Order: sequence, then structure tokens, then C-alpha cells
Amino acid sequence: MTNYGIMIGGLGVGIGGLGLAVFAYMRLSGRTRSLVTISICVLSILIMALAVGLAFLD
Amino acid sequence: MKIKSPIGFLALWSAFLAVGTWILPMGTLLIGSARTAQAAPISDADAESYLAAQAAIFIGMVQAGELDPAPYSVASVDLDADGNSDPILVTPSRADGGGGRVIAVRGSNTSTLIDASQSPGEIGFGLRIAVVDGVEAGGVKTLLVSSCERNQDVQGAHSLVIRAFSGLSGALVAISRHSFQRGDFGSIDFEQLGRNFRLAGDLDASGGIEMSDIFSVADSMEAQVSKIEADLDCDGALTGIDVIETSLRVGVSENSGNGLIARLATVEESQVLVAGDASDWYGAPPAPEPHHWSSWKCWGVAALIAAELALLLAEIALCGASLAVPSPATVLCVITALCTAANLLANIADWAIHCVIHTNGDDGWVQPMDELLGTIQLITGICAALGGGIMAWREVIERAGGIKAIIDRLLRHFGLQA
Repeated sequence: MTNYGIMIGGLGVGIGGLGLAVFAYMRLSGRTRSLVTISICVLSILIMALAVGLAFLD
Repeated sequence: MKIKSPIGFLALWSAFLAVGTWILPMGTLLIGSARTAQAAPISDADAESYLAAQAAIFIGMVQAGELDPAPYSVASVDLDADGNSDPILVTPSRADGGGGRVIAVRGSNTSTLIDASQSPGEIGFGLRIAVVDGVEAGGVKTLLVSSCERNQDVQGAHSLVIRAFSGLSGALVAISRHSFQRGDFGSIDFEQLGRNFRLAGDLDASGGIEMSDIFSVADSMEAQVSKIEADLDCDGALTGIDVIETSLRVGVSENSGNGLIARLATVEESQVLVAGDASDWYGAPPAPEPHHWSSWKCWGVAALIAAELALLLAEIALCGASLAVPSPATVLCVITALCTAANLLANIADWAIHCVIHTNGDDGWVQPMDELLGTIQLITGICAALGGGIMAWREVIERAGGIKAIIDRLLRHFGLQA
């Protein structure tokens, strides 16, 4: 249960983060837009990768 | 007290000097001499009867359940298959070469069933014992005792000795020796080797425990000396350690009659503990499944928590900036951030339980808490995905001028509309 919880939870948070990255890209401008969008994207992908990897690690 | 004159000070100083340099040391010497003079050596016969008396007391304590209220920790192996538990007492071999005795007592009439001792030149006798199905029919068990025998003729050569005793008659029914060299075991501390012996069961997966399984233990020692797991109860699965091992239970000191310590005779009596899922054999409760995570998983979840924390901070900053112009997107942003925060807290709690607070899993609260946290992680993850996803699509659709505009643009792109 915990493994699935971590995996699906992490994937969900990562997908939500990507959604926010889209939001930031649309709403912000200039250098801030690039910085915030890329940061959130990287973090979201990292979270999703860790969540999937941890599900198979015990 | 106030010292007014130099003479008084000098007298006090001399008194302290006398006490410190003469009276106390001499007194210590005198008392020590007295102890030595009055210490009476104990003969082997006295020691033997003393051990027997202690063993009788110990047996009584085991049978009365006074040592440990946990039922599985009481030696209760029915060696002779008469329906009564037969306590097994072990005096493991000590580092000084002493000890090394295994006693099994018939539960029906408390007479001695097995009484085996370490032979000269052996070490580690009784440090590892096991009970396996015996050669006799009718559920009679065989008691196995391991020891290590030094080969006096060849430098560094030793033998793993395994003795098999009948659970019915108590007689020695088999003995095997497997020679090995010190170098065979790499960096393993040879003096501690006796403590690492594990005698196990169905190693060849034949569906039963035969004497050949005993010998294959020695063959596989090189690969896995410290822990050999085997399907002792032949249920087709290695669900636990499935090894019976001994643990120290009682240490006894001895005083001579005159009140001075003449000799310290430590009796290392041991109870038999059953590990793994050997409950079908001995009526022991199954060992709880461990809930601890591997160190890799602990580090991985810690990294996940760190990444989620960074993402949460970014989300808070983003949502905070959009609060200046409130819109449905702002609400979705806050919902996403809240769900991310809840997921983060659940992950932190999960990590703390498995990596910091509790690693054994033998408490009842770990499993329900695991399930609760798993459910929270699941729900908050779905919530965050929905919040962020809806927000992104809403933003895209709004920017493009509606869904119809998007469809029209796609159709034009693929040449399906003029």
C-alpha cells in the first residue's frame, strides 16, 4: 500500500507541478518566466522519476 | 574548620599523605592477601554438581514460564514425539575453552534425554543447535549440535563438526566433519566462526529434511557463513530465518561459604528461540513481518521529500504572485499547493516511521498507519494532479480563445478545413 501510495502520490504531485509550470509560462514574462517554468518542470520530473523508482525498490 | 598555624596545616597535610600513600595501599594489599588466602578452589566434581543444581533450577524456571512471558521464547520442542515439550538447555562454549554442553530433558518425567559435552580441542560447541526431522518415524526429531574442531597436525586446518542426536533415545546417531582452512573464509574472524554456524533444514528443496541437508550446510558455508536461511518447516517458502538458535538467558556467580568470593563460575544457560515461520512445528507465533525499509529506500524517499519541498515553495510563490489578481486559476493553484503540502507531510510521516522511529514492525500500530498514510498519499497525489492539470488546460483553452478555436486551428493545421 505504501509503495503504491508513494508512486501514485509522487506522480500526481509531479503532474500537478507540470500544470503549474504551464500556468507560470502563460502568466509570467521575461527571465522570471523561464526560470520558474524550468525549475518547476525539473522538480516535477525528478519527483515522478523518484516516485516510480521507489515503488520498485524495497 | 579554620587552620590558623603553619604547624596545624603541616599536621593535616601529613595525615592526608599517610592515608593516601600508606594506609590505603597497605590496607588494599592486606585485604587482597586475605582473600587469596581464604579462597578455596572448587573441584571439578563440585563444579559439576553446581552446574547440575543450576540446570535443575533453570529447568524449573523454564517450565514454570518465569523467565519470559512470551510463549515462543520458552524451550518447548517435543523431541521424542510423546506430546510433552522437552526443554533444551545449552551452556555454550566460552572463549576460554570452557563450557560447551547441551542438555535435553524429557518433559514427561524430567529425566535427562541428551547430555552432550564439548570434546578436547573443540570450540563453539552448543553455540548453534537445530532440530530437524529425524530418521525415526512418528515425528521424532533429531537434535543437531555444531562445533569447530582444530586439527593439531596441520596449521590453520579446522573442521566443522556436526553431531546428530536421536530425539527418542538421546544417542549420538551421526557425526560429520568438514575440513576447511582458515583462508577459506576470507576476512571472517575465525575465532568468531563458531558463533556463525547455522544448521538448517531443507536446503536441497527436496520437500523434506534429510541428513544430506545437514551436510550441505557445510558446503554452502563459504558463500553465506553468517546466515543461512532454509525452509525448516518445509512449507515451500523462506518466510523467515527458519533457524533455531540459542540465546544467553542466565548468568550465575558463586560465593564460597566464608562470604568472600572464591571463584566466579558463570553458567551460561540458554533457552531455545525459534525464529522464522517454524510455528507449525513448535506452536510458536509467527514472527512479524519487518516493516523497515532498506537504506536505499530511506535515502530515496528523503530525496523525494526534498524535491517536493522545493516544488511546494515554488508553488507557494507562484500562487502568492497570482493572488494579486484573483481568478479561478488562483483557486486551482492554491488547491494544488495544498494537496502537494499534504502529500509532502504524509511522505515525511511515512519516512519517519520506517527509517527513524520504528524498524521492527512488531507493534500493532505500524500496519494500520502504513495503510492510512498510503491512502493519504494516493488521494493527495490525485488531487494535486487534477488541480494542476485542470489549471493548465484551462489556461491553454482561455489563451487560445476557447475549445472551438483550438479545434478549428487543429483542423486547419491538418488541412481538413479551409
